[in-house]
Amino acid sequence: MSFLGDLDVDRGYLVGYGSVSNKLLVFPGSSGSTVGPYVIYSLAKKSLAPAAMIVKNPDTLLITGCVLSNIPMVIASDWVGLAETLKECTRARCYGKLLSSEGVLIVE
Amino acid sequence: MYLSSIEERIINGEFGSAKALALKVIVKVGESLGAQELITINHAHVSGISYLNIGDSGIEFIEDVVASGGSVEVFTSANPYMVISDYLGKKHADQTIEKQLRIINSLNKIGVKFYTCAPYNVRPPRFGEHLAWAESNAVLYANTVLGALSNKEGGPLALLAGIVGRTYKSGVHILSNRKPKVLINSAGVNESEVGFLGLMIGELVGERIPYISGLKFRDTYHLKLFLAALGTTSNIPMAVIEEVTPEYKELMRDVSYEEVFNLSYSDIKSYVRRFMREVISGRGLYLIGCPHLSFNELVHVLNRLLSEINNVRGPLDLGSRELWLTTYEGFVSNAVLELVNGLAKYNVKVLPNVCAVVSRLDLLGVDYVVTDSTKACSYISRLSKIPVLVVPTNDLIKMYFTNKLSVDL
Repeated sequence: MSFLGDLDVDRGYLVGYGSVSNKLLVFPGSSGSTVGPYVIYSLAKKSLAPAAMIVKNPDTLLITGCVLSNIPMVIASDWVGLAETLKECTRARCYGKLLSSEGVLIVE
Repeated sequence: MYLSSIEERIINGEFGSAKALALKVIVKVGESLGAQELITINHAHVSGISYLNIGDSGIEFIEDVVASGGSVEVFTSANPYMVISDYLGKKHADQTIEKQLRIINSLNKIGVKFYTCAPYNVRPPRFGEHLAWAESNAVLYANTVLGALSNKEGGPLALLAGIVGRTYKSGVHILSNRKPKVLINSAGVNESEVGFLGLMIGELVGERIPYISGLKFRDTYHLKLFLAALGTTSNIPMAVIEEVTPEYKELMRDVSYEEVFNLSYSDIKSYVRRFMREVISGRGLYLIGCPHLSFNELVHVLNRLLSEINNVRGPLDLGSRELWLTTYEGFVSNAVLELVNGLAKYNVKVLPNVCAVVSRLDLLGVDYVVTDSTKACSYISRLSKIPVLVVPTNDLIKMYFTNKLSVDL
C-alpha cells in the first residue's frame, strides 16, 4: 500500500479497504513514498490514524511516520503465524478491548 | 542503541521538544536498521520540500517543527522548490505558490541555507566527513566523487538530523559497507550517451554498489549528469568509479563480485535508442541545470549562448519557447548579472533555488521539454506527462535558436 495515493488523508480511508482510523492496521509494508511520514503525521493530528500497526517489512519512512505520530508499531517476524492467529482470533472473537471496539484492518 | 550522556539528555527533552523528537526518530530508525550508535554530522541536506510533492501534510509538519522551537544544529541546505516565476506569462496557481512560500519561510526559520540539488557546490564536503543528505544525485556525488559518507536519508530524516546534528551509524557510514558488490565493465561512451548509461547501469545494479571501470568523463558536469541518472533508476548511495572515487583502489581490495556485467558499445546504443522520440511541437521548454549548475558551469553556458547568438542569421522568433538555466543563489557577480540581463530578450532565464522537475510543467502550458539531463527526462515525462527530448548541452543551445528538433541517436 502507499500512504500517498491509496489513503485519503482527510477521512482516514484506505481505498479498497475502508477506514484505518483507530484500528490495528496489519499490512506487509508500504511503498517508500517520501510523503508517507507526513501523511501519517497529519492523520494522527486529526485523530484519524491507526491505533497501532503490525508490519511485515517496515521501511525507514514508515518508522519515521510512526515515531513522529506516537503510533506503536510492531514488526511481525512470523508473518504467516500472525495471519493464522488473526484468523483464529476473528473466529473466536478473542481480541482485547481496543480491537473488539475498533477492529482490525488487514491489508493483504 | 548506545547513547552518550549528552544524547540521553537530548532525548529526555533537556534541549527542547523538537530536538527530543528528532533524536527519538533517528534512534528508532537506526535501531530498525541494526545501528548500534549515532554519529555526529557536519552537513544535513533536506529533500522533498516542493509543495507539489509534500502537500498540505508536509506544510503542517514543517510548521509544527517551527512552532516547537526546532532549529538546526549544523549547516543545513535543502533541495530546490517548484518554479514560482512564470513560463511564457503563465504561473502556477496563486494558492499553490503561497503554500510553497510558507514552506520556504518555515525552513528559513529553522535555519536552512541554500536551496539546491547540488549542495556539494555550496559547501563541498571533505574526504571522510559524515553527512545526512537526502537528495539522490548529491548523495552519489558526495560518496563517489568526494569520499564523504552519507546514506540516502528519506523524508524528514535529513531535517531531523540537521536539528540534532547526528544520524545513525549504518549503511555507507561504515567503511566495510562501501565495498562494491557488482562489476560493470563498460565500453567508453561519448558526451551524448553518458546520461543514458547512468540510467542503464542503475537498472542493472538495483541496491548493490557497483565498481564501474572503463569510463572517462569529459568534465565534472558530465560526471554529475551520469550520477544523477544512476540515482534515478537505482537506490544506491554510492558507486566506485575507476580513477574517480578517491579511495577506489582500497575499496576494490579483496572484493568478490556477485555479478559481472560487460556492456559493449552496441548494448549501450540499443538502450539509448529506446529514448528516440517522434517530432514534437508546440510550446517548448529548454532546460539546462539538472542537477543545478555550479557557478563555473553557469558562466560556461552563458558564454556558449552568447556566441551562438552571434551565429544566428535572420530574424529570431522565440515566442513559443523559453530556456531555463537552474542553479542556486549566490552567482551575483556584476559581470554575470550583465550576461543574464543581456539574454532576457531571448527568453533565457537564470532561475535560482528552483527545480523544473518538481514543478508541474504541464500546468504551466509547456508542451515539450528539451534537456541535457536524462534524470530530468525520466521524472518530467512521468510527473508532468509531456514529451522530453534529451540532447547534449551544446546541441540544445543550437536547437534553442534554430528550433530544429532533430536528434541523431
